[in-house]
Amino acid sequence: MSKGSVKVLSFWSSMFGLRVHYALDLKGVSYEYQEENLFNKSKELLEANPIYAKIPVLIHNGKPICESLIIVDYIDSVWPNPHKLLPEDPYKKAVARFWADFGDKKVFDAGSRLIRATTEEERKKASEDLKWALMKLDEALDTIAPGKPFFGGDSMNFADVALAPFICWFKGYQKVGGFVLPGSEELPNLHKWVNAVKSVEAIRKSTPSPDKVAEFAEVIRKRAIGSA
Amino acid sequence: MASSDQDVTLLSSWASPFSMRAKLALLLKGIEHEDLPQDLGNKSKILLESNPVHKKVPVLIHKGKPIAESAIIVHYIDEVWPGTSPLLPKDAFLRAEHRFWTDFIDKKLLDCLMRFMRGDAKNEEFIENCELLEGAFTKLGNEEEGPFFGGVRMSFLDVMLAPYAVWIPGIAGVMGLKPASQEQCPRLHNFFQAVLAHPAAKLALPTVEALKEFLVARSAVYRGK
Repeated sequence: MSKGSVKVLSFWSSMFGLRVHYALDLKGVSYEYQEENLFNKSKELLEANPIYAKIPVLIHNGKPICESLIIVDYIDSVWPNPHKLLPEDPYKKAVARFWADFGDKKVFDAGSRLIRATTEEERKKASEDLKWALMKLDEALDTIAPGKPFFGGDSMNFADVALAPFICWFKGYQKVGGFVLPGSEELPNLHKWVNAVKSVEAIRKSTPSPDKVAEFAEVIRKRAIGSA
Repeated sequence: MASSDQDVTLLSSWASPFSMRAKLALLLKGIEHEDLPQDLGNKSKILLESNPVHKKVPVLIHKGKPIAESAIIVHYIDEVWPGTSPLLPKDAFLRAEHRFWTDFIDKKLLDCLMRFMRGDAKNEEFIENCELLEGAFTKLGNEEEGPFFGGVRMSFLDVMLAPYAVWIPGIAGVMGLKPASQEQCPRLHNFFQAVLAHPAAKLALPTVEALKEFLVARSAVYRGK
């Protein structure tokens, strides 16, 4: 299982970083973890990701891979078993990629705007956009894997790994952005999915406490308002 | 090569750099397809039904099933038709590099061009992004083999970057963008020249003149006014 040295540069609350942890942990790959201080980035991070200087970075046998979904794709190629994340069927693979991308473009984007909103108008719009995105996820679960807990059916796939990190941020979105997660009457499939994800041991391993994340979201907000 | 049950349709828009990528991939692989140009100001039923989430082009419809997002479409095309003109590299690390630079093109290069058109970005920023792309050529391409990241043939990253062979001169001609010179970015310059001369690209990409007219007509939209 070793296949060389594996090191992850990340930050404990980063949703993007969590994707990498989840992928490696689901596959049982051992790795070295280096927590980065985002206000004092290590030389290693700056050299590994000179263009963006961002985490997460995966360093495999000395070679850096950047951008969380690209990293997860890479991990799935190098360590296909156990727990293959991308389906073999090209269409199903495209669907998984689509919803992972949706996570970035619509879920993360709205959540980020929610936390950094400086006006009530901005906050309200971000909140509505986030709700819309979650509704789409709820519908998608029903279309792609009806009656099953995950996008991947009985087990987590690429889309599940891409989206799972948002779960521990909902408390932060509520505390800082006043976002109330619609209940299971409104989003039955999403709630089932959340519960299913939370029950996966490999996911629990690196997921931070939602309370700590919510505190951190406050910090981000203060910095965002301070600089506005 | 395409058999009758291939049933490939592309919902396209001739000026969209994302749509051009999908078209180019289909042409490189010689995949017979029906091209359905879309009116983005008056979206068709087929577009809204096949891409209800984003309502955007391009959409590839294969055997009745829709695939959206240009990079995802090109991945799909490469996986379903692997035999002709393979696009993604075989090596996992190189694949990651192709994807990283694709993401850079969308997040940095295109974003910079869009902001430049609105007057929110300086020419220098654009040149910096070109210089970073020049670095990608040094890292990933083999100059002796050919002008493309794939050497003599186009590869995935070449398809992703190709539309800028017309978009950059288009914006330069209409909005005063100063492209990177051959001295500043020789490999990038050679790449764009090679794209413009490539038979598949000539069919997939509009002419610079047509794009200039398009930009003039829609300048109010692009200037953000």
